[in-house]
Amino acid sequence: MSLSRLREQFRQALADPDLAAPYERATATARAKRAAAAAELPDYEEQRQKAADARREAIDHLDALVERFREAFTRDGGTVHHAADAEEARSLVKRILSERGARTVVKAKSMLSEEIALNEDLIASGWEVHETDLGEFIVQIAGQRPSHITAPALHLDRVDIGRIFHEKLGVDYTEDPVELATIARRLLRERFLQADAGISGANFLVARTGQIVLLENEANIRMCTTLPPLHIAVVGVEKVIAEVDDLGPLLSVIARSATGQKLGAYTSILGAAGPPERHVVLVDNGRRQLAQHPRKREILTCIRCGACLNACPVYERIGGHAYESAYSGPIGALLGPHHLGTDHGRELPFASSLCGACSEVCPVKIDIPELLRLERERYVETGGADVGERLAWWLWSKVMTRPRLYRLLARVGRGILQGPGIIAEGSSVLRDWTDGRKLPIPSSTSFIDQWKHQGGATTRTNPIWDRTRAQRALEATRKAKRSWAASRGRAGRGKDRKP
Amino acid sequence: MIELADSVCSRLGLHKSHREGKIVPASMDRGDRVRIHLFVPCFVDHFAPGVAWASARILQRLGHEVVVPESQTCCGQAGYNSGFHEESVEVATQWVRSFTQADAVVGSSGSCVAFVRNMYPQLFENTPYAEEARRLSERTWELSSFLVDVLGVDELGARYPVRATFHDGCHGLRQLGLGKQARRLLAKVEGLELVEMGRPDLCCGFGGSFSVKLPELSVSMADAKLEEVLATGAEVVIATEPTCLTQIVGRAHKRGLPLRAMHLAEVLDHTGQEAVR
Amino acid sequence: MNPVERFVAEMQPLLQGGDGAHGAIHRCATAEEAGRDILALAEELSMKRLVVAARRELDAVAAILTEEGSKQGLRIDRDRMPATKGTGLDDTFRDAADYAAFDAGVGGADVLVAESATIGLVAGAHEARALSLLPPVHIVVAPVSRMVERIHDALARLIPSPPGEHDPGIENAGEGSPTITFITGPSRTADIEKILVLPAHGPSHLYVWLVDRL
Repeated sequence: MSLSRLREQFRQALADPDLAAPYERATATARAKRAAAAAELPDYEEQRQKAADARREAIDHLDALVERFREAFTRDGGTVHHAADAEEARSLVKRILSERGARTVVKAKSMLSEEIALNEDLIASGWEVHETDLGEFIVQIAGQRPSHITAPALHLDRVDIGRIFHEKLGVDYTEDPVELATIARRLLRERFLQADAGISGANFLVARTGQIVLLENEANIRMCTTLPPLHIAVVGVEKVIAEVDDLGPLLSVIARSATGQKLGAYTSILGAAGPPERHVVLVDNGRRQLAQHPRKREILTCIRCGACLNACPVYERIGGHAYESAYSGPIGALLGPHHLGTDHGRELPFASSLCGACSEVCPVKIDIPELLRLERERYVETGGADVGERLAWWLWSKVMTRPRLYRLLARVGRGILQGPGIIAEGSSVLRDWTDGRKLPIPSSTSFIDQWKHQGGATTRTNPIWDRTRAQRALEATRKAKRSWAASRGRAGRGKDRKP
Repeated sequence: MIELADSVCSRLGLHKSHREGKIVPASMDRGDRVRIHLFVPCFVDHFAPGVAWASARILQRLGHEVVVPESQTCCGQAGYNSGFHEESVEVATQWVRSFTQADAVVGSSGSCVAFVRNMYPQLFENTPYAEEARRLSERTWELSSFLVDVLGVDELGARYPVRATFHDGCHGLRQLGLGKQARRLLAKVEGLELVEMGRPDLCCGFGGSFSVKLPELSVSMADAKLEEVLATGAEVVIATEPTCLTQIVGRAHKRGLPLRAMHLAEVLDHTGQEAVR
Repeated sequence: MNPVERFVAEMQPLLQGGDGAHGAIHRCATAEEAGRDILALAEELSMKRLVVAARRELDAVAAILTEEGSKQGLRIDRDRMPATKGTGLDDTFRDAADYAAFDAGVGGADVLVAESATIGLVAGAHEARALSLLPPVHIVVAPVSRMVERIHDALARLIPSPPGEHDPGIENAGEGSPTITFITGPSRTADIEKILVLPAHGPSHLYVWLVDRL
């Protein structure tokens, strides 16, 4: 994908006049609830900091904690499997199911399973897979993809859902949410009771105790992990946390950020007592690679609450599907370049005005705008930007460091823009601005020229010794960048491997 | 002439001596007023000189000396946010060189000031400019913050009878904690009726090069912002961010809407003598 | 507000669905009172079969329900502790799916969290996980003495450090790391237009009796 393809994709999404309405409505509700829930907890900021610290600590010691988790989970009678990539994760799940002769699977919502396209593979290989979270169930029977990390059917209204139920399940049309939920409840209750296996993700894995933590409101996850004789949790390696103590702050912020609840209806902390067979498939799929980067490792601290999507003015306009990625919104734009959940996410970091609304609400304080910017740098460094853009910024840097030349060129530029409106408005160079907005009209004289003309006090730099120093500064920057790139190159071998 | 409170001096990081009851910044070369280097963001310089004039006049009316480094060009943020790190350092160097003598820098864009304050120290790390960049980052203020937080001023004698709404520019709001200062200042403007938007902090969709890289998305975000603005019934949208105003009003005018945009400095500079535009 | 009052206050809104109340919270002095209240509730909701968890502290409640219940045509099944403790397995007493046949599951709580009106349960032979999951009504009878302020306190109480040393107050929790369920209100969903619907897949109603002496 190129930036122009991304633009085209967004243009198409924006062309649908009905697209934004459900996103606007749902995110507005979610924002208000989150804000109220955060305000309600007197030490919310302290809990948030502790949650952020716990996640950073975990990523800093990823390998050791994963090993610790494996030991503890094994001690309690479970089995841990390691999958390097999506392909291996899928085959591991299929092998576990096959060996136990499991044919029908009830599935709890899991973003990772979207990332590795688990359902598609299982169904294509002959398994019966039932998504059991109401939103996922709706999306599955509709043959669509989730549009939000925590609210998969957010893009559909009750009329859409009524129609889908009527067409796909053969029930009488109803748009009453209670009736629709009841239909799903009845149908899925049977499937829970008959399923051979339950597959879930995990919100956290506690390294010391080997416990799997799962959060929900519906009780479908409890069903999936209680009723079938076999439970497989397919989990990204980054979900590990060191200690039970870390759960206090994390639980204090996650539901508040996701739904505005103090806690979701059900928090399951699965230990030794559970189904006879318990497996955890730990999926890497680029995560350990990302954990090597001194700054970008922060991306892995994400707890998938979806608050950044709800806060994002971009997500609200284009919706979840336009990202063409399992993960949408700001966090999806960050995961894109690392091929987590998408094959063509290199341009996604540009899908942001860097407004920072996301990091303002992030419960683990991920500096999303700064990380998006870093991804943009990498895009430029790896040849993503076209020649025209590279030339433009090069010229910019040369002109902006030569004040006299800059002022001269600016005068010419202002003159052109001040010319007959039709020239400026119709110019193809400016069309990307002028198609949707009026051009601002420049002043005939710049402020600094006016100021000098009126005898205002000015200062000047010493051009000679200072320019030498500027050159040294630039060299230092280049040197730092080279050594950084070199270290990244070592860590980053095979980085662009597709899932 | 203005008396500087202790807190002002400490925030400015200036030495103080008590002379005739006045606290004088020792590093100033002239008398007992603050010498302010005016940071004129490139957009303001060429498209909205009135904003810089208003800023300068406000500061001068308060008794301060305003000087304009004529070699300033651009803070370098545009390239930085587009992924052109090296080019951005080069341009930012020009800024540091231009302001190197300054004890107090005041600019009329929250975003540009936020870039200097928050990014320069890291941008110039391990370069010959590290020390200077760090020093300047602590001495650079956005106008409303300088007035309220540093000088402790909120009454400027402005008069401007209009129904207006205030847009929080993202970077100023989230990187500098701006917004409350502007509202305090606007509350003291005689005749001005401030009607808050439901979402004053919703991004206008400008985002620098974002506005032309993904223009349809950017415009759609401007429309969402305009809906908020229009719902207030305001004739004027006010901000501390010149580029946000260009985006909002550029979209409004494309749609034939009669909205006007004013920078906070322009509003505060209305002393009631001139006819309302 | 003391923790018990806080718990009660936090519980109230959780029991409200779009279509009315989905449970209630009561405070009473003795197990007997709770038992009689449950009988009245069973009659009001025309319940036919209840299952009572194996917890010893529910013996008195189970006794009243069994004695008095037969008069109103109510059948009470009691889970029993397995002969060997610490099997490490959940739901050893009956098949998890069997719990779907009951109108209500009567269980206890190993911890109560005031801040969020959360009920903490340690899975094991003293209370099967499915008892609070499959019947449409979940009834909790718990001593107020198990009240803690925050989820942090609840975690510290239920998950011992180092592992293997269990809180003696928790009966027959089994070996290895405990399996814990925190329940905060009845099952719910908001997946359709963010409209709150009770229930989703779990219990539709949650009734809680906080008992001074159990």
